[in-house]
Amino acid sequence: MHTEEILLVTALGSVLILFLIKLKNVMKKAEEKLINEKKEDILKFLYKQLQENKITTFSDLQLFSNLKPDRLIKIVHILLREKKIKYDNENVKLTSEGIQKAEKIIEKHRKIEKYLFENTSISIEEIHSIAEKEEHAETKIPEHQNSYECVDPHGDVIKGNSIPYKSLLSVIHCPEKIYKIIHIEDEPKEIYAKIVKMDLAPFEYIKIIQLKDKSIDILTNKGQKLEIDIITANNIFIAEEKDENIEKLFEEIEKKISQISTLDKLKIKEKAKIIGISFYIRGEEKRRLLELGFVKNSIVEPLYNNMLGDDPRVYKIKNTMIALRKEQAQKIYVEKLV
Amino acid sequence: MKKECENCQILRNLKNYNKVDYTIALVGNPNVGKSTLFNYYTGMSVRVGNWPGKTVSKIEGFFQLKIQDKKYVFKIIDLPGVYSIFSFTPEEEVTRNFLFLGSYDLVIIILDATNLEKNMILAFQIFEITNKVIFALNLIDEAKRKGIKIDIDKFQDRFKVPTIPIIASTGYNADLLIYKSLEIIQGKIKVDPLKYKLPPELENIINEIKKEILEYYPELENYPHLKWITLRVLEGDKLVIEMLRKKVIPINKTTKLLTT
Amino acid sequence: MQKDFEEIIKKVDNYRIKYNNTFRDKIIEDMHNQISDILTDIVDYQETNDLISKLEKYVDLFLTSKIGGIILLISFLSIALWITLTGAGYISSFLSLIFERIEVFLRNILAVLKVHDLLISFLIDGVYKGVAIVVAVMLPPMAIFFPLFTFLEDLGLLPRIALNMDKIFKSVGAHGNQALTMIVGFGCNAAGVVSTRIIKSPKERLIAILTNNFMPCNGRWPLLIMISILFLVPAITNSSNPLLGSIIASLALVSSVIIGLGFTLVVSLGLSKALKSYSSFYILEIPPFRKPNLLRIIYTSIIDRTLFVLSRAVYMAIPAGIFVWIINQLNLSQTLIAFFDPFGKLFGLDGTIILAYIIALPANEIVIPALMMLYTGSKNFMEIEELQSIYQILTVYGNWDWKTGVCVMLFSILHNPCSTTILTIYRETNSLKWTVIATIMPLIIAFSTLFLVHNLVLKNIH
Ligand SMILES: Nc1nc2c(ncn2[C@@H]2O[C@H](COP(=O)(O)OP(=O)(O)OP(=O)(O)O)[C@@H](O)[C@H]2O)c(=O)[nH]1
Ligand SMILES: [Mg+2]
Repeated sequence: MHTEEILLVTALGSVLILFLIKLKNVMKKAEEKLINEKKEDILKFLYKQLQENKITTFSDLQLFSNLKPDRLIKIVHILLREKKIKYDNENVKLTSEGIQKAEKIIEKHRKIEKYLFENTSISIEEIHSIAEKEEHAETKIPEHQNSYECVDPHGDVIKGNSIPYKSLLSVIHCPEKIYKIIHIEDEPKEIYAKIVKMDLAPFEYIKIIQLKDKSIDILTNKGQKLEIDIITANNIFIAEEKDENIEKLFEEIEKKISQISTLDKLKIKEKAKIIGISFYIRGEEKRRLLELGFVKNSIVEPLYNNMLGDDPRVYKIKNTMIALRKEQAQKIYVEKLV
Repeated sequence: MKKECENCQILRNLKNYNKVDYTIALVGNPNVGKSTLFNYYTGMSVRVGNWPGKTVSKIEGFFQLKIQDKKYVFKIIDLPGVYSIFSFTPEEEVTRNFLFLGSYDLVIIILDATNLEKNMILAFQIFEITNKVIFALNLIDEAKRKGIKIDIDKFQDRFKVPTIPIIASTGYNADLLIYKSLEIIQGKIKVDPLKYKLPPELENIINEIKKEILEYYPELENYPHLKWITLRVLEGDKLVIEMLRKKVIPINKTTKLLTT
Repeated sequence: MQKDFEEIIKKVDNYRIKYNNTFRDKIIEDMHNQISDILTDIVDYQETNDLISKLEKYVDLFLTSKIGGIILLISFLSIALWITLTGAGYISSFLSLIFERIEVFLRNILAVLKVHDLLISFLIDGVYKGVAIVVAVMLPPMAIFFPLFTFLEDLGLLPRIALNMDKIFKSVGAHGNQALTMIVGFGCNAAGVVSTRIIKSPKERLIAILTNNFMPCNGRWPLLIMISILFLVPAITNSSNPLLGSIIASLALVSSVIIGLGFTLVVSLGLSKALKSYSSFYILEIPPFRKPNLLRIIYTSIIDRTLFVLSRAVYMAIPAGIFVWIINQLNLSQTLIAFFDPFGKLFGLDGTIILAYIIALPANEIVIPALMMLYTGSKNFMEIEELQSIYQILTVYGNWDWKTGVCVMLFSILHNPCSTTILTIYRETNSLKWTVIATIMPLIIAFSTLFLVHNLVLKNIH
């Protein structure tokens, strides 16, 4: 062979080897990332089981994680070595260290959700799945910038646990009772979207009117009458609330229920008093509306439409003219003045 | 060509900050005429127009006014229009940081006489930070045209803040505003604005947290805006919380630490 | 012992949770209510006999009605464009005259000072002429358009237009105020980009910045008009009826605006899908009508807008002037044209057109003079008044036909923003990423559209 050929072959060979090493590195990184994600998912799962007082066996883990057995074993090994989990007669349990770690992950998840809710225009149903991805990574999403937040958009306390709550479905008797919505489950997406559309949100109050076979009739603190089917009800979590002010509020609302409507439904020149605005008007938009006077008890009046129809429409509030789009007006509750 | 202050001597290139006697800031809702008034005093031509949100950053200007045989050099600051100072938008941040951390002798709160109600929210918030305030009730020509009558004496009495009706676009009463301002700055008039009354249950919480903050950071004992700071903590204002944690609140306004 | 700060925060958190995390909202609400109470017997709203106040309500009703809205929009657009385009021509030629005088004067001085010939040529032919031509063509339209615009702004008419247009923009995920920034864009894209400040929500603002370029600015109008008259009218009709001719030319112009509008909307839609990580909301304050202050309008529109844009343009024109000078000194233009030619041919253009657009980076206005210079092989920008001579040059030297005309028109509407605008985008967004995207995206769109139109449509028409 000629020297040139030898040189060429060596050069090509070394390039190939370098490439293979690089490839291996990349693959190793990807594998590490995957394992890390799965590890964190398993910790979260165990934490949830713990909270629900359920025991977890290895096969539960397998069912949950959907991993090949050898992979799962590897991950469990790592977790055991890191002292995040321990075996306790066949059952897998979190150690205190594991609990701490799981809480950290959940906290991060909620923080990301809150950030996305307040500072982006990502639709609320998608927020959960994005946060699910971002919580593992060195996330690029900054922590909520200007303010410390303590609850996420589903009503969960970011650091620590909420007060005990139960599903709306578990209400068996005694209608006429007032509850506060504490938490709204964000999975599955379709049901969550339905709840959002009904404008049911954390921190709102509801009064049970009637329990039916397949649905529950409720009245909200903004004067909406809603019929909730049982599947949806199962995803709404509530706690009892005994507060005189709230009871009074509901009394008042029931009295004037026929005048209650949303801003977009008012006719031109029809004056109304604001009852409240939706939880799902988010971030900056909400603050702006409040500052401009869209608060409880303000008087508002639709002044005129635009050239192409009634979206957006101009409203008069605090002697100023403000144009709002239809979706915004739909989320503002008012009481018509007679 | 433009409306300028006739009695004022406009100082266009005053770079020497030592010469400034007093610093005055113009604060108010968007589109109430802050920049118009600023231009009137300084002869500058900051962006003015009839829609909210033209001014986006802090602008400084200088002028000199002779008051009772004495010449005073004023530095005047035009700030972006805001509805509140909870500091979320960049404009709010500029205005809030200036009011909280900047140094000034007086804040002129410019009010739009045609919709006072909307304007007073901001005024209430400013009262929480500083007592050095005066009201300039602008656009009274428009208000008059629209049949809006404002009982200025009553208004002054209720809010306990001197109020001068002005027309920024013609300069009506603009000199008087400065004379009155000077009296406040020099302590001839004491101003103690009406404070926003918190609902009782909130008041209790504030008092409790205030006490805890004092235990952590005793230097704040006589700090006039402790209540405001406590409220900000309750609302979750990151800047204030961080400053508390690091104990770097500018207690006598000399420590200018954070000016973003 | 010192208190632990984290404990305080924890306590605060507990309170916030107990009060549903709505302290801020509660306080604002409470403040509003207290203020209403305090003010009830201080402010008194009375009926006035003031004619204007009464009129205002009806004016608003009229402007937001179907007919009124359309009248408002069309009259606004056509008057603004008409005055700008006709008026600007006179001032422009007047300015050119003055700049020529100054040039002679400068040359004499430099000659007296015994400056080296090459340096004189560099300073005069390169730097001075580049600046002079940019000023002469850019200043007049702006000096007319901006005061007009500012007048309407001061009156309070613009938010009403924005309100009327919002439905269209909402359907593509943008803000109604974008209509205003686009109208400013007709005057000048750089000013249009600055005017996006009126859009307060970050996402919609970015959309408005990135799409402003699709509105043909003043600098592009002359080219569009010229091609319509010289190439499109003869291609469509043989009759020499001047009325028919001008109708067709106007239609061609209206179509270019519609094409620009179409691209704006489509790109806005795409961007609104892509920019979900920015917050978005719509709240438009409609200010009351106020009496405009004429003197101040002239002053602010000249200082604020015209000079502002012009100074940036001059700043960018100097390197371009030097670039042209170097090309001419080294006789590089033919080489460059040959180099770009195959590329240009792909899109129905040619090397000269591409080079002309590169030279015209600082200002779209100099595309025609640059084309004339390059086609004729002259050493300087050529300002030719007579349309027929331009036609001669383009068809004889450049081999243009109506298809080339269509391609150049499309390219003119869609291509990258001028360097002044690019610089402005950088200032406004403060981000290199968005500046680059704002520059590259229109180019990609322009070339791919041209490629399709040229190869699939135009080639099949005989
Ligand atoms: N009639 C009348 N018009 C006024 C008066 N003061 C200001 N204006 C007009 O009100 C409009 C807004 O004035 P600006 O000075 O730009 O308002 P600003 O407070 O600086 O607004 P931002 O910078 O957007 O916050 C302009 O069109 C002024 O001409 C006044 O006293 N009377
Ligand atoms: Mg201003």
